Amino acid sequence: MIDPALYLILLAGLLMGYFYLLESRGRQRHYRIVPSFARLRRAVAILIENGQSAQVALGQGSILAPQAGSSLAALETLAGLSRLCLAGDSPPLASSGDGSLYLLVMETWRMSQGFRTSAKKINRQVTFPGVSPFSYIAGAMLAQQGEDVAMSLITGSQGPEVGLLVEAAERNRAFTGGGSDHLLAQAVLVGTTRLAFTGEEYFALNAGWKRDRLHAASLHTQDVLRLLIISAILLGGILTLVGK
Amino acid sequence: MRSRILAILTPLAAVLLLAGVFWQLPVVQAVSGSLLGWIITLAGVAGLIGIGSLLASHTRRVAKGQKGWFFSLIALLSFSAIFTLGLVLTPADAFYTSLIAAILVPIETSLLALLVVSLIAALIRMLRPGMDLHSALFFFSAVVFLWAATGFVPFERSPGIQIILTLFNTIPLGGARGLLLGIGLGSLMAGWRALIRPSLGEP
Repeated sequence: MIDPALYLILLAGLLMGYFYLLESRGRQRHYRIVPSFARLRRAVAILIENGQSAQVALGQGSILAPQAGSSLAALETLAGLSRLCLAGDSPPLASSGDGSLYLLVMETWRMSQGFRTSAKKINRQVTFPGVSPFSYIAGAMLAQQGEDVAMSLITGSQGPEVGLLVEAAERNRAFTGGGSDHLLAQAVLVGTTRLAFTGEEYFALNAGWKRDRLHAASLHTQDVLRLLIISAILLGGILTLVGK
Repeated sequence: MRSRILAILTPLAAVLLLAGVFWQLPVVQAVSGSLLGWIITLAGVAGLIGIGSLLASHTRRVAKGQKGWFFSLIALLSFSAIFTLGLVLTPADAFYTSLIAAILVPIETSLLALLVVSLIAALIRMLRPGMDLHSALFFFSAVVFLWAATGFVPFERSPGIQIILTLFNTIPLGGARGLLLGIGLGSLMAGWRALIRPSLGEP
């Protein structure tokens, strides 16, 4: 007996392949632009124009844990932002609190900067502030001190303690925004940041920088799968009612 | 060359690991188990690299006398003390664990208390002239659910109030399930993107 989850995974892959082919042939399908993306892009544009820096907190989600999806989305966001920041010659500061994620953050940061940066600069810009949730947040708060950080972007798997980092960034008059896969952290971010990305919006953050064919295809797949799951839930509810 | 190797290895590793999750065949289990063992060892080494980097950055700060060097010095001394004690007593020692708990618990509790103050301040900041519907709803629901959680609900046992309380319990549950559904699908698609991107040669 094959697990039904495998069918869902395979269906997602097939649908993404189909939508990617459509995108590659120039048949771009429209997707909903979340108003927050436009605000985020504007904030990044101002940041680049002023030659200021951004801080990206990628959280503590291990690549081996169920939070891996959230960390992968955070890495994509970092890569997108880092490439944009090339125009302003002020690469972002990045921090992560998990060893495996830290190595991936360093690699992503280096690749997005076009392999032209020294190891010394990478060590200065990419930090590992702490191992436990609170020590990570405290270290990330310290890392933005003394730097001209005008934007603090919260990504990855974060707990509710991320509110302290947002508070520190707001005190430095930095623009704050972001999302997480943790429900409590999402609630804290809605209350404290200027731009909060909740639910699946967080996973679409990278699509907010520029149109990426693969990301667009995955967003369409996500929409189709969501509709399928909602239909299944409704059908289940109706059948339960009828059964009673 | 590097990208070609990645393009072959990434899907291969993913298929092997997935096979280990969904098929209980001994051969598949053995292959995916050993692959997982390598990954866990590599992740452990990555953790050590991270800690090394953390120590190096604090040492640099102390050596150069940068802003906050004193706190870095405290961090380095604390790390050395805890590390040495851990080596001598082992992490299973009752005194060692209670010592760490005695330091960590008060610090984390204080930070949580600080977080509560920050959240209350954020909630108050939302109350401003011209607040949008989203902020108003957030504020209203936060106040209502806080009040419901206190247990001081007048006429709690009356049927009318019971219906309202049930509704109050159901709304957040439905919202949380909706968000979790989005997060689950988002995670699945992020995994697929990471898997396919090297093969497509997309940046």
